[in-house]
Amino acid sequence: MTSPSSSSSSSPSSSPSSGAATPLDRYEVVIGLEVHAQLSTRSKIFSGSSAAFGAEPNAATDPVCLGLPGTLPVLNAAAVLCAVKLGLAVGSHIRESCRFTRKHYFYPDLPKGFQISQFDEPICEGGTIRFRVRGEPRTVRLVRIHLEEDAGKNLHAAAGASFVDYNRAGVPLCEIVSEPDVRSAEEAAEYMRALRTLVRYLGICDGNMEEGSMRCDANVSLRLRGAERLGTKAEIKNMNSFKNVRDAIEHEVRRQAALLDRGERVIQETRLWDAARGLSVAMRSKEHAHDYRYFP
Amino acid sequence: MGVGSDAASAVRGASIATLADGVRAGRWKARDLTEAYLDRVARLDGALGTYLLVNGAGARRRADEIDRARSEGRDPGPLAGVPIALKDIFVTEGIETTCASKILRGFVPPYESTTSRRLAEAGTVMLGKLNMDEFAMGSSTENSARGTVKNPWSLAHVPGGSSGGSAAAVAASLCAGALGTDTGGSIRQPAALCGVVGMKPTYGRVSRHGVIAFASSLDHPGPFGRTVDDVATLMEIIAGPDPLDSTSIPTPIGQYRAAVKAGVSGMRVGVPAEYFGAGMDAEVEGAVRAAIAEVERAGATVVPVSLPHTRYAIATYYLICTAEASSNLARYDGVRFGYRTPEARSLEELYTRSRGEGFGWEPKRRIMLGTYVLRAGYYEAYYGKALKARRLLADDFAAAFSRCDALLTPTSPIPAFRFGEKTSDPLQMYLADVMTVAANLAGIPALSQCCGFTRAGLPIGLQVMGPPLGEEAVFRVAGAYEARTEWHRRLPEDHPGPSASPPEARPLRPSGGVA
Repeated sequence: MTSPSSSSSSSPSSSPSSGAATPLDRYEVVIGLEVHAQLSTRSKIFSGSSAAFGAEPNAATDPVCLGLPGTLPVLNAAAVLCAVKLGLAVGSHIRESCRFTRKHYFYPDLPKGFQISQFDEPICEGGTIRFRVRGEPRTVRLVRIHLEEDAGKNLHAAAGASFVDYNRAGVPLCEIVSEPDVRSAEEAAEYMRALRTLVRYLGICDGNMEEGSMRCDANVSLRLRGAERLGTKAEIKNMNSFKNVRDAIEHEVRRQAALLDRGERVIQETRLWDAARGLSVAMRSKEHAHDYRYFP
Repeated sequence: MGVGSDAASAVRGASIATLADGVRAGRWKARDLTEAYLDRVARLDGALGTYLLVNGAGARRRADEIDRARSEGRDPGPLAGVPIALKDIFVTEGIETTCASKILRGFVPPYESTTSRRLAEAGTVMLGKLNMDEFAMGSSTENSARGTVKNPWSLAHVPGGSSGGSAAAVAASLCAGALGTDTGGSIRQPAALCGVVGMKPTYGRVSRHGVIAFASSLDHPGPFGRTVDDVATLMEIIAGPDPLDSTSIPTPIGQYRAAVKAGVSGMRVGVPAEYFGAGMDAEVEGAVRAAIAEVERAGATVVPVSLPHTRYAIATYYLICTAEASSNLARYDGVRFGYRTPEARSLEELYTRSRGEGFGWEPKRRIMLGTYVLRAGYYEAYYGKALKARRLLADDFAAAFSRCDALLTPTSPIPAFRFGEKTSDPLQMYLADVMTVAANLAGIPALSQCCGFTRAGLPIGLQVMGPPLGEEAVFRVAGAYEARTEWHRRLPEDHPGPSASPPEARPLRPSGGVA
């Protein structure tokens, strides 16, 4: 088992090592990862406009991806092929029939008031990602891989004005959901690296984390060594590099360990990683959790 | 002007076939017919309120194109010069499309619905956009945010809904044919109340691309016409597979016009006992029973059948349609198109005020009901259960159609009611759909045609239903009945009303895209 403060050669960590008393002496770290990979299809998942990155704002849009009244989604076969390739590469069960579901919430970058995603019948189920951490083989099991559409992007200008760029709206995504098999920040980063190598090799995603074509959310919890039950988890978002993944999870492990050491409880919430400040801030707690009203 | 004035007198009560044949034979120019209808709209629609927008300049331009094509020997299409109009739920490129809602005022779509595009390619001339219940939610067109529509047979009565504008415009000869949508009866019930023919085809037979969604699994676009043959003619144009609607059926379409003339000998026609229960108007029941006897005299065998789950249809329908509506209406948020409150100081206020000020009461009521139905913890009890009941209703029809080729029922248990009679009690209004919703839940084709009039002079509707993709069976029965009766030849009086004619479409640039 590795310490969260130890660093790998390729991405030197700036986080301070606290020396003797690492949290891992007492606690076991349990991490599940949700990775969003933008698929390198020419057009969007449900319409014909370009899915390429970098066009003028709102140049790569069409009535469907803008959610204009009367439009209907038409599934892009190329996106389905990408997901099936990935599923085969990691040994998933590929479902004969899968189903898309509407996930409802309001946000300006979400044109229809719902995201078309998959819920109870994802395209791929199960599978494993194999990689090495410091030469040691590791296997992380997957829960599922599903297809969904990306949202647009809010841009906040000076003087309180906000703009929305819908070029990204409708770009196909694969969401790859792992079991809580990851045991350290370093392992999480290596998992991401292995996944990036795989999607690049398959030619289904460019794996560029800075441009957001691979994004990672981590569910992190701690439990006393030897305990059966999982501790309360927090979800960390906005980690757009391998280094961010490591730093954010290390920070979260220390934060939760400190809470538990003081006899306090971890609150189930979503936290946003702020790479510039090297800390995370609470975004929304479970009490304000959304009812997404999933529905076919 | 000889030809023109001939057209003016000829269009009242004219069938699509008459008009198309007349243009093809050179009796009328497309422009003459267009002017004749536009003149009727200008003189008569003030009293009826069927048009939300008149596409005068666009229609004249299109008619002239067709006349030019003909004079140059090109084929302008099978329905060249036939003036039609569209329920304002069909998206029209460059022409404001509002669903009769304040929340879509000013929305000028950058694309065209498949159905209206097919009609245009067949040579029809689009006269304008027709009034309706807001977002197709209603059974009387009283829920329009833009004024009510009067029934041409009696201005004190509603035309039915939600496609009340389409039914009334066809009845009053303000267009030769029209498109509507039917989510729970919204084509058939107004067709019945206005004494015209309206068809809801099999789900997936007519594309929904460019039809603004109310309840996606129940929405059926379809045609209105004066006669069964007119409706079959329009169906042959608009039906068929569409790559832009993944739920459209790939099977080629049938020979609908041939079916109208095919007769019913050898057919078995079922009469479901559950559709003749309590609450039915005696005059309606009498007329429908007489119509069934007429179909029998035409050579069909009439058999009693049972649809035992019919009593669950209304509850099932209102659970599913509100759930789907709450999802489909989420996109009207004031961010990208349509109405935006001028008052918002925060994102939350932008949403709540734009939606609060933009939607009328009926969409709000259905959004609230549907959101409740889909709530975590309630989903299985309401929506899940409604899906199971929907299956049982479809199984009822499958069992009935193993014993017969078509079903005959009333379209509405009552004739047209008076304005305000049902608006205070939404449940009473919902019950007006009791005969029609099951066909939407099962996705089967169904048509309404006139089978008589009450003593007060209000039309009565006969509903013909068929199995999935059984449009031809429906047309055979409806065509045979119409051939033996004269009801479809009656015309309502013209009501020259106040000269407040509907607004002309102004040339507008599409606003749907992001600037």
